Amino acid sequence: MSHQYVTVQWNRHKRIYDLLLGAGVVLFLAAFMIGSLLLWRGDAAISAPILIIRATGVCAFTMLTLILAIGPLARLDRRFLPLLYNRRHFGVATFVVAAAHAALNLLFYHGFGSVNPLVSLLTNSASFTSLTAFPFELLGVVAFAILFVMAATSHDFWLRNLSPVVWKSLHLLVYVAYGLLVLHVVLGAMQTERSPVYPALVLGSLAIIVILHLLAGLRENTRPSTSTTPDTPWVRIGTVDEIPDREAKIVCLAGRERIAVFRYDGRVSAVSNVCAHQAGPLGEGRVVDGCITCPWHGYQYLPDTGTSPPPYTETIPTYAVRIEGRDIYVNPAPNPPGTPVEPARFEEHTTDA
Amino acid sequence: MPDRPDFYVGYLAVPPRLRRFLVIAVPLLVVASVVTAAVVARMQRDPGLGTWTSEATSYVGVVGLAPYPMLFAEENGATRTYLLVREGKFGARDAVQAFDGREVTVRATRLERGGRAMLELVTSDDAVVPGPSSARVASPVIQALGRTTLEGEIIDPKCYLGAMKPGSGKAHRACATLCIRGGIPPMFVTIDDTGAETFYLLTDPHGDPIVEPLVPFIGEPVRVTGDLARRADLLVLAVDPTSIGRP
Ligand code: FES
Repeated sequence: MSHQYVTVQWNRHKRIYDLLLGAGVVLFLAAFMIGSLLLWRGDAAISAPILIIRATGVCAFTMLTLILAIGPLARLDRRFLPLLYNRRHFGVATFVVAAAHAALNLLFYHGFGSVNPLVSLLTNSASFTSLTAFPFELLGVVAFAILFVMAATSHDFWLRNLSPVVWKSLHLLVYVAYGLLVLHVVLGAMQTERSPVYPALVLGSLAIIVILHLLAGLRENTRPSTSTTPDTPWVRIGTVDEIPDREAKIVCLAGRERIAVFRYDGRVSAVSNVCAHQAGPLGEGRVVDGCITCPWHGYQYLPDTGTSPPPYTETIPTYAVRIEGRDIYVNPAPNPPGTPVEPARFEEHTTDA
Repeated sequence: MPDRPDFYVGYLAVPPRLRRFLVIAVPLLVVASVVTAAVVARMQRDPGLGTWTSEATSYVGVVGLAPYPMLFAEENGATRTYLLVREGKFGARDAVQAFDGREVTVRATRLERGGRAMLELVTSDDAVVPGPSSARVASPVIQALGRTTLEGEIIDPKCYLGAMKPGSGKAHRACATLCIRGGIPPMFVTIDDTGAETFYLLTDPHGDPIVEPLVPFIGEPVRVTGDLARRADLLVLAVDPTSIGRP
């Protein structure tokens, strides 16, 4: 789960995930290539390099659309969480497909000429003010650079060394890359391709991504939130009976980080909702084998100390909790990460819910 | 709470209900993606009927250098004009410079589309040899056809005639720019309602080669005005650079 850096930490699920991912990419490219070869034959055939350029371009765009859809999908329906589990491999695979697209473009459209292909790529701009002549290649170049940085820093080694906040912000650039790619297609291929299928697919993909994010965001904001009473630091966040056993209630307090309040075995503990790994929502996780388990990649924390069980060393902030009757009170001032806090106890069997 | 949704932990066994969901959802996602691929493949625009022979053969004709390197060959009692280019994105001026107005035998592969043909000289030393006859021959007479305005696309004919299919449009613009800057004669193509293509060789108003004024407009629908002329089977438009614009 952490700290011993190996190239990739494999397990059975990741292998299956990668296998399916690889098979999906191969099937996609094959469907495009074979379909094109069957439809456009003989003297009417499309050149092979152009076919591969198109197949890899469409494939990379589709992959990025799926990657961006997985996050909000998992938020809206937890059954999609397994797709999130190894999403970084999905990202790296997308980069590889995009790299093939970029390399073939560089070779065939910008190579075999009197200037260096890179010079041709970066300087063939016709006009930044015209839609029809806009140098759409540059949009692709910037998006590709972002995908490169993300793929290169996708490993946990960088996550730790760049600090999760920097890493997360860096990886939010994927949205910039996606926007650039939409424009890359709209100002590029779509200027010549006349079929309405292209705008429908590109703008449809964009719309799906936007709508999924809005829906997921709406869900977040409608979660219960409580406000502090002025004379006491303690905030009543609800009753033990409204939290399913071994699960949490996520509490949003104005101006504070979200708090995950877990109920387990007649006890209640409160920790930060933010996983130390990639800021996954711990409150959407469960207590498994006595440990709070992150829904994203399964990092674990002891509920009463906010530390990962040995040999792991991750820590998250903890919060003081107490119970009056069946009401839970949390002190919203976070303790430093890894501070032990005595769990609040209650009578498990008197539940009348 | 027995019927809470299953909780997935990557390194533990997948709960059976979740497994059932994934066994349906994941293949569905893959199928949807593959169908997308097939639909996009189906909707690609027609790349045209360009051809490019793979075997080099010999052509006999008279070299003309102005405005661009050409070979005038007598075929079936008429003069057939071949534009001459080299391998890659380069014109053939260097290769035929010494033979202006002379009869030569060239070894080349042939690109052709819509009746317009081009020869790519082989890279070996015997690409251009003088003869068989040593007579100097006058190049075909030029017949003026008057001021003309056309709507179509500025293309590099090497790609358009068959080196790349399709060799036109926005995605191909950078390539066409390299070709034209590399000495491949710029052409203009118009397509009528029946889909028939007409090709025009482009020159500047004085009949000399034109490159840079065309560059900002390559690969997109444009309108051009100029003096049209016929030279054997070749239409030549001496384009007024200020007239080039989006229609
Ligand atoms: S975010 Fe990766 S395990 Fe929590």
